[in-house]
Amino acid sequence: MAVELINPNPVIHERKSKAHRLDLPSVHGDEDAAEEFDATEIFDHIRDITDPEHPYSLEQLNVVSEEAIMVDDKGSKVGIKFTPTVQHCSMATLIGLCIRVKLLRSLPPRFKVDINVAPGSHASEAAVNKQLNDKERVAAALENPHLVDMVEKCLASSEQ
Amino acid sequence: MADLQARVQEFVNPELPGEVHNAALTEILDAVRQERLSVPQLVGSLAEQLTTEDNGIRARACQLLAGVIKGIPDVPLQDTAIHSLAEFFASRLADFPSLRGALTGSLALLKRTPEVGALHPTDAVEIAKAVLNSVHVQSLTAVDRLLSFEVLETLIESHPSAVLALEGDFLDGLVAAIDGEKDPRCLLLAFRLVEIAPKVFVTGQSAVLAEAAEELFEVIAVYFPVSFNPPPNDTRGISREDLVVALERALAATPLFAPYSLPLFIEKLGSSLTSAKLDSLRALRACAQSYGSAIASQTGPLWTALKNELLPLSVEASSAGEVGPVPERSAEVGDAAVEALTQCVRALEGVGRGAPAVSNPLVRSVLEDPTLGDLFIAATGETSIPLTKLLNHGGQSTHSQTDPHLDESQPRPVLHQTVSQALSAAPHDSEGQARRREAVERWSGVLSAVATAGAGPCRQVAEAVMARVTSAGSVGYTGLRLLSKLAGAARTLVWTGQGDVSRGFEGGTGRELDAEEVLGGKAEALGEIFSGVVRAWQAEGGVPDGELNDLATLAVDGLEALASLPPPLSQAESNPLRQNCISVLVSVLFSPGSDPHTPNPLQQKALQALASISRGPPSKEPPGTAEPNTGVTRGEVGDSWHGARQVWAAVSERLLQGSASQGFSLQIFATLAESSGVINREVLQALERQLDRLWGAVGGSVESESEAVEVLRLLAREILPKFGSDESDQELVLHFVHALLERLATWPSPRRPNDGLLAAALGALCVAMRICTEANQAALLQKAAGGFFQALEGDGVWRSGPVLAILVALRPSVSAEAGQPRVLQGLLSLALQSSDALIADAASVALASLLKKWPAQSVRHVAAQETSLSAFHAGGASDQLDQGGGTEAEPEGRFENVSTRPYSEEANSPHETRLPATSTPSDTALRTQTLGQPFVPFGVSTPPHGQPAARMTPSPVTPASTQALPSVSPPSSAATSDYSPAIFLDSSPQSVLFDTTPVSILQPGFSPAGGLPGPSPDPPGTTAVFRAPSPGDIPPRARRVAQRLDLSRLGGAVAASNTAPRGPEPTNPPERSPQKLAGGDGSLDLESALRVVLDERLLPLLPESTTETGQKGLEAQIRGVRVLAVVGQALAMRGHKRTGDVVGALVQLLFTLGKAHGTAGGVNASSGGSGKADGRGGPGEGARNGMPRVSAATLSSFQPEAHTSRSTGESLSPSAGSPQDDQPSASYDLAGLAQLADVAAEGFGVIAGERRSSNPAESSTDLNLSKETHAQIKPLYRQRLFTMSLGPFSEAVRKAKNPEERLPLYRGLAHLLRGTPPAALAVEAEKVLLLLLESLSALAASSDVRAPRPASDAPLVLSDLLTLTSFLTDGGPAREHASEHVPSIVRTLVRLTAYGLSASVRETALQALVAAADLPFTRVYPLRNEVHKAILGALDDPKRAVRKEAVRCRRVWTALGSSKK
Repeated sequence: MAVELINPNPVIHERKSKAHRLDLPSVHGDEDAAEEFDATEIFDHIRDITDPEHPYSLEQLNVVSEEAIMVDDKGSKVGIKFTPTVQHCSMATLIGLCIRVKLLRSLPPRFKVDINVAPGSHASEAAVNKQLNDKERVAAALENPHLVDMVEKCLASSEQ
Repeated sequence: MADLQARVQEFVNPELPGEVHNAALTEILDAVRQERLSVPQLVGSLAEQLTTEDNGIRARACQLLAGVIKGIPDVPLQDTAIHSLAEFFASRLADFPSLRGALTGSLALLKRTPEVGALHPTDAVEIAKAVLNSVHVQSLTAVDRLLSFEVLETLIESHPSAVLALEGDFLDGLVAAIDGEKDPRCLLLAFRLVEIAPKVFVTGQSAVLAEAAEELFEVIAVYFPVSFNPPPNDTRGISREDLVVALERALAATPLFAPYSLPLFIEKLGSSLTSAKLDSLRALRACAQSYGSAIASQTGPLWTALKNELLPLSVEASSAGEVGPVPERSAEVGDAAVEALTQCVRALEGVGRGAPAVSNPLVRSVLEDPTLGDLFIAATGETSIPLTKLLNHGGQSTHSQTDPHLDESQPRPVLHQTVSQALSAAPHDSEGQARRREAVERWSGVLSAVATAGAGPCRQVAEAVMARVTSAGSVGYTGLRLLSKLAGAARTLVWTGQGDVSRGFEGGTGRELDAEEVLGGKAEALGEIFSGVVRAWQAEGGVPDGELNDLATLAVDGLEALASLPPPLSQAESNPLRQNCISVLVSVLFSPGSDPHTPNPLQQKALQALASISRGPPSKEPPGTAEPNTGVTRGEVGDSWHGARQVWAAVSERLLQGSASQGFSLQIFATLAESSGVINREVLQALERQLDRLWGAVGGSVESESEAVEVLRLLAREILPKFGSDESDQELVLHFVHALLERLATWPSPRRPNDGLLAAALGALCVAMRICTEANQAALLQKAAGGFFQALEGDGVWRSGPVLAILVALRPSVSAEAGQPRVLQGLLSLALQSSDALIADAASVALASLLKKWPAQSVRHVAAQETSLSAFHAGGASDQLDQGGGTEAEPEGRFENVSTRPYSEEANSPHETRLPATSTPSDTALRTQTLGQPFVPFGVSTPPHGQPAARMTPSPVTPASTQALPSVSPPSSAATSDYSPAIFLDSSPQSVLFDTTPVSILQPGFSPAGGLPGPSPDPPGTTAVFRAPSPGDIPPRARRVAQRLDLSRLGGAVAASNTAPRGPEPTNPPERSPQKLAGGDGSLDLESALRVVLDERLLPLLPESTTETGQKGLEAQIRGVRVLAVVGQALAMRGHKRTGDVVGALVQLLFTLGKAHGTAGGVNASSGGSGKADGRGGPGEGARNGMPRVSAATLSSFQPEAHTSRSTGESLSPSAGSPQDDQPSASYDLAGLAQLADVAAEGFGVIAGERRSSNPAESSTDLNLSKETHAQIKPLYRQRLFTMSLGPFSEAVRKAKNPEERLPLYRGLAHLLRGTPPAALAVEAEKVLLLLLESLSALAASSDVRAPRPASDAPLVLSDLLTLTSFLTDGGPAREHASEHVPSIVRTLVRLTAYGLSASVRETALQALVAAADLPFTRVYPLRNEVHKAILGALDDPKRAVRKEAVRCRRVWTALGSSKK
């Protein structure tokens, strides 16, 4: 592990209440009405992933936000833009990997998930994006027991 | 003796093990107790060891002596002995090896009481000196230190004079002993020493204490705040809390500590640790309480320190208009600070007593705090109302305030303008406003904390705040918040009686504090301000939001608090302040302009305020009398509290004028009635008046009808249940019932009240009735029965509704009296045949209620035992028969007369009396006559059939014959139950058709025989249902009652109206014959009653084959099954064995229907025609034969006498003659069958007490069996029911050939499971589980196939699924059984994850899968692929909740794989 923290003093944001799901118009009474996948649902999956270097969730660190998630249920597409806490964050790829694994487990296989860092939020933006959306490299990463271990640790908190 | 010597040697020998020592000591102690050995003797024998040079032996010897003294605290000792012992131990205290013995011995001596020879004071002084001088406590072991402290404690508590004699030395010694102590046990004692020692000196030499106070304080102050973490394996059981409390007490021991302790607390308050702050505040509170005015010197610093906790710096800053984040503050600390402040103020109340000008210094510090001034300066920017307007206005209308209408009607242009200007000028700086309000909140908390400390501080605060408001010239949020909080504080002060400190001084009379005392002269002004603000709000149009609304909300709070203050003595009667407050609140309540249908929040708040005023102070134990149960309840407090009546007086008038919308006024009624029991009566009366008003219009307008329903519901739910059995309550309830009955009775004939109204009325009636006492119930039953039957001829059966409601509510004893055979028949007919669904429902519940409360013992036996009952069960009947002629008939004899005679006759000539299926109505009536009424000699014009009966029946009018009867037939025999009247009750509805009976047959027989006037409707064979008040009264009245109650007539009428046109009716008054039906006195035991209900009426209705369904009429069968279910519930509740019959019959029905369904799929039912063509051969018999064999066996055990009744039933069976028979059709009505099956399945839910279906059409009445309606419910009845039903169910399932056939059974089972507690299910898990799994798959699969009712199975699937889940999560045997069936469980669940009809089912299935993953790994693991496949589908479920569960489930099942691989 890195001896020095990359971002030793992150800004912590408050965790939004989960209750906001209730504000949505309920279609509970209607058995046939489909509730489409939406940004809130995707966000619910990934908000509680722990940051690799701080004991805070991605939501608290404002790495992910509901606004930065694009969902197209019909077209089976999900796009996520996340914002590393600092420009030179070397954990960006790991964070991206965590998000990908989490969604791999949570979404039906029909979805194609694109994960990118928010434009301008990272020094080597292009490289990170390329790495995150390369199937081969993701698969290779998931073969690495050390990496998988780290990913699992990050995901543990979001799977309670 | 020698033996004892040996023991002594053993004990003294330090080499020997502990057990030997203990044994020796025990034996020596025994010897001393038995006086075989005296203490001097012991000392003598120990002489050598006590003085030896050997330390070990000397120590043991000393311990022996001490041990013996300690062991005999109750054995008297001589003074000389005690003296020498004391001297000895005191000297040994200096001898280190003997120390423990010496301490133990000293302690034992010090503890001795005078009765057995106590220590002389001089000896105590010697010991005290020795302990203080020779024992260096802190160098000892913990055990010895503890002993030393105990010695000191005993000295202080038992020998204070010895302590005083030592003066300062004792305190010095104490300090030295405690100094540096670390052991928690010792510390607890040490704190206690410091706590109690000063008390000795305060009464003796306080100067000495004053000198030593600082040192004494210092020695314990070092422990503050306590920091203590018990070791992990601590066994001493001392917690930090114990230490904290002990230390607090020690610190609060004497006011002399004040100069040292207060600075300490103030310093520790500055700590950043929350626990330190809390401890300081707590200690401060405790100390303030005990120090009293000693804290006066510290008020300045004290306030500064407390202020930091109460008003954090940034709040102060923001109150001055600056903006900064409000720091997080622990609520706990805040609360503690408030309490501490209150206590400090209270402690200082004594200061300056006798000199009124000198006020409480701490209050002064608070009020003169500059930030309070800043708060008001900062508040100038907010919306405010000029004070002059408010007060001037108030001043003008002091006299007019009693009339709020006037105020509303007058617009106030000046005020209006001012407020609008202010509103527009108000800065819309929401953040600044929020901060300012935060500061106001904190400050109002501080001021109310100060104000609750006592009447003096409260007045002071009131004056100061009013002065501020006055000088500001206007009142806005800040001022109003402070004022309303102040009023609230004043109320708290008065209610909690905390003003006692000042009361003692002012020489109060023990009366509570009043408004004058707590608020000075400001109460009036406060009231005016609050009222003025409310008026301003009203003048603005009562806007439900905005700043003015905030102000009005505060004002309502204030008014509520003010109105709750007791008035000064001079105004105790009128209490103008409260009157004003209430009238203002009432005017808010009825504010015009607001939406009439949805009251705005302020109106709601005003309502709550009024409720609180009418509720009054919380009940409290009167001080001094510490009796635990003085019976002081809210109601009694309320009686002396006039608030409720005042509020009611103000509200009721306007309510009745209809000033509020209907819904809201009902809410007002309900809230006020809930708040105080005092006005229950008034509320009831007011609601009745309202009902009256509505009822007038009920026929016409739908609206008023729905309002009447609301009123009735409110009465039934909220108001009536509060009434009790005392006389005045009963009177009102009676009045209500009478009025309601009257209203229903006078309902205009042509149409029936609609369902909602009738149901509500019946519900209210039932609730009112169940409150009535037995006597009243009986009387009301009579009244209801009387009124309704007279009107019956012209009108519909709905008029029987009230009687039904009353029957449901009867208390068991009254119910027993009402439980007449004819009543049963009547109810059955109603329930089965009435075309009015609501009435049919009510009738079935009434029937069930009767059966539920039916005395288990035959009434006949009761009659024999209890004269009171017999007087009216049998005797009453016979009395009237005898028409005052002669003697009391013996009940037994009378009964036999009724029951056995006709039977024997019957047996002789069955073909003459028994009617074939082709019987005509007249025949039937005649037979009825013959069987039920053997006393009537109507031989004059009877047709041939009747002759034998007439011939053989003796005339009842002659007393001789009644007396002779008992000798003719033995009084009781084993056969009686078989021959009981039930058998002779007609089992077919048609036979109740007395209406069609030709008059000529009956009429002539009546008049002469009964000795009654010809047209009199009173028949001879009636039954007295009610206790008659006086014997002379009995015959006519009882006759009437019985006649009125004769529901069978009603049933007959129903049948008539349903089946045939009422031709002969007008010429044939129905009062004629049917009474005879039931036999004479109606004493029918439970078994017979059930035989009537079940065997003769209900069970035969059930078809044994689908052919029969067609024949008998689906409609009737559905009805029958419904009634059967309700009756089944009654039986199950009382734990009756015949519950089994009901269950069996229903299971059988389900089985039959299932078979029909299974075979019917498309093929026309041609085969069904012949099989049961001879089906009329015994309805019951058939039912039994049709049962699967094993279940029949199971059930037959419940019913030993089934055969007898059955054979009789067969010969009787008239049902085949029913008109429905004419229908030749044997084709299946599939939808109808399905409905029947559903009803039967739901029946299990009803029996198991499952909530009845929410479908309003189905359970339209609010009537049900419950504890409230006096139905005693046997504990665990659901469990029993379930265990009983399981066998038949599994048997039937086994018999059915395929899943399709089993479907109805599964539905029934699901209903049953739904009503059964999980614990009972778990016990039977083994059997249930397989059934459950099959039924799940079957039900889930069925929904795809069967179109007509796709969704109706979903709730059943869900409830089954929940049961299965509970098995999986259960820790006990259920889970073990589950683990044996893992594959089928998991596969069933997997299938259910795709259940299309209900998302909840899918979700629950996934949850169950999660639970299933915990089952034994080796069985679960192979299934993971199937599960994963299912989850993949579920991940894309249309419902979010399901997807979420799927994610969770997937994780669990993935983990299952990875961790074990």
